[in-house]
Formats: sequence, structure tokens, C-alpha cells
Amino acid sequence: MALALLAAASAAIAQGELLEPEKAFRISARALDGKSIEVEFRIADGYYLYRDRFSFATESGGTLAEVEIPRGTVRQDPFFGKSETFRRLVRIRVSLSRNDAVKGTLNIKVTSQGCADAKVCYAPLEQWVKVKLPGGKSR
Amino acid sequence: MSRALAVTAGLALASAAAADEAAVRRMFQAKLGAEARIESVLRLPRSGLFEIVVRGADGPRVFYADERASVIVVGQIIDSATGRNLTEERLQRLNAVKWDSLPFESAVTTTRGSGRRKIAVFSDPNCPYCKRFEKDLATLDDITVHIFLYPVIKPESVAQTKSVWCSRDRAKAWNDLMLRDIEPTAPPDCETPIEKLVALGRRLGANSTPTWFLESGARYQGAVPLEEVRRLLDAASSKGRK
Repeated sequence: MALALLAAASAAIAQGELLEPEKAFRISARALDGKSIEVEFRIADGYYLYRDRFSFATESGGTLAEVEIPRGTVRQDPFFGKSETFRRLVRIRVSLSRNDAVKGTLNIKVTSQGCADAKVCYAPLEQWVKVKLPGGKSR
Repeated sequence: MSRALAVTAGLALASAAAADEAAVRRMFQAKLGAEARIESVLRLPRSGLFEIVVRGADGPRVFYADERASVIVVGQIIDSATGRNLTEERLQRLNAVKWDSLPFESAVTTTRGSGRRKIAVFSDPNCPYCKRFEKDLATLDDITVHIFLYPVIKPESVAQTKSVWCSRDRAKAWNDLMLRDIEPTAPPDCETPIEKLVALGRRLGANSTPTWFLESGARYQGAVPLEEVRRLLDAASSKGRK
């Protein structure tokens, strides 16, 4: 009985609900120092993010140009051609402009895009992260 | 006399349940904040749990709670007697659309054989799983495939889908693109329903592609394996007919 129940439950999960994109791609961010931050995505098992689909912007709408995205895994997709992707975890370093760095607290809009293996691709996902910058180091 | 008593007792029970549901709704609302839209609160038989449906911007969500809303369950409930996933069945119904309300005049439609089995797919040409899914569908006979052009995956999808819509033979242009990787060539400058379709898809909570619907109104996501799709199509079309 218990076994049958377990089997039913895991079957339900296996075929079951896709994760909402916010859960498949969990975002967090922290300050590295007074003028740069690190954005981290924890990517659920069976999901991946495309390297060339990230973008970062500040509240005022400015883009953050200095973004260091590590190299991903090159994936030869039978339908999509060559693409670089991340699984499990990716950490992205974003350098702030002087203007942004003095603000103390910064809201950043992060756009990302990914897919679930063999199932779906998500529309671009916009998430806001709030980062507190260490005070006094802004010069 | 005893009958009247039984009826009264039954009514008392029913109104007690309703009162509990109202109480759970209040407590849940307080926890979620005033702007959350609680669609329904229902006492589940046998479990001592209440089901709470919250309607968000990206569709309905189902939660469970005890009668004091002191614990909230975010997960799936399996009926241990039958093995049925009650949460998934509930979401399936909550996500359903009225098939006849879909704007088929704005679809790119391919019919094979009798066209008996019907499916409507929100699809993007830059979604690899859409291509896989449509290649699978292309092997099925007696089917009507309505494609709603839904260019949300990549910016270039917009021009591609517009070009498909502006082609003289839309179905051929679309199937060439999805099944044979032949790009459409028509200039993408005619009037198209694409913006409306994108708005519709967002309203229906289609945050991924492919998202598809069957004649029963049931909604599905993803490139589900062909055998499963065939089974679902047959079940939905026999129910829809009658």
C-alpha cells in the first residue's frame, strides 16, 4: 500500500506539473563590493538557461553593460542549432556605474530565458532583485 | 418528525461547513494580503483540509490549509484509494478554456483526413520543443491542427510569424518553417492578428511554449510524447462530439 502510494506520487511528479519559471530559475543577488554585484540563478534539475538571453537593467531603465557571464556548456540542439546553456547554477558578475554605486540600495531588473528538458521553452522572464551595497566604499 | 430532524441536522452541517470555508477564506486572505484574489475555498471531503484557489496574473494556483490556516500546503494531493492526482485534475479544470471561444479565424490551420480530432497550439518558431511537438502531430491522421502564432521566445520570432501570416498559403509557410526549417519569404508587412494572439496567450497564462488546448477545453503544456497526445486527443474528441 505504502509502496503503491509512493509510486503514484512520484509518477505524478515525473509526468506532472511544470515548474513556474520563477521556481525553475531561482534568482538571488548580493554585493561583492561597493561597485559590483553578483547575480545567482539556481536552476532546477531538468531545466536550463540560455547564455545569450540574459539582460540587466537598473530602475531608471539604464542597461548594465559590464556583465561577466561565465562560459556555458555548448549544446548542439537538433532543432535549435548550437547554443550555450547553463544548468544547476550560474553566477554573473555585474559592474555598476559610479552613479548606481553611490545609491546604497539598488533594484535591478534581470531578464533571463530558459527551457525545461524535452518539454517547453519559457517566454523571457523578468525578475527584480534588490541589493544593498556596503556603505562608504562608493568612491 | 425524525425525517424533519435529519434534514435540519443536515442543513446545520452544511452551513457549518460554509461558515468554516468563510473563516478559512478570511484567514488566508489576511496571510496573502488584500490584493490577492481568492477564487474559491472548499472543504475537501475526508481529509480535514480546505482547498484554496488563488487566481494570479499567470493563472490559478491551488493551496491547501487546515481549518485555522495554521499550516499551508503547497503541493499535490493524491487520492490514496485510487492513486489519482487530485491537484492536477483540479488545475486541469481551472485552466480549461471554452473551446468555441478561441479565435480560430486567427489561426493557421492544417487539416488531415477527416479532421476529426482537434487541437489548438500556441507556438513559437524559435522554441525547439514546439518543432518537435508539431513534427509528432504531423504523423497523425484525421486531425485538425490550429496554430496560434505566439512569438514570445525570441525577438526575431515576431518577423518570422508575421511573414508566415502574410504568405499566400499560411499553412504551407508555417509547416515549411516548423517541419522542414524553410524560412518564410513573404514580406512581413500585412495586417496580422499576432499582437492580439500574444495578448490572448498571456491572458490564458501561456508563459511557455508549446501550450495547447483540446476540444474538451483542457489545457496542456509541452511536447508531451506522441502516444500520450494520441490518447488525449481521442478522449477529448469523443467527449466533445455527441
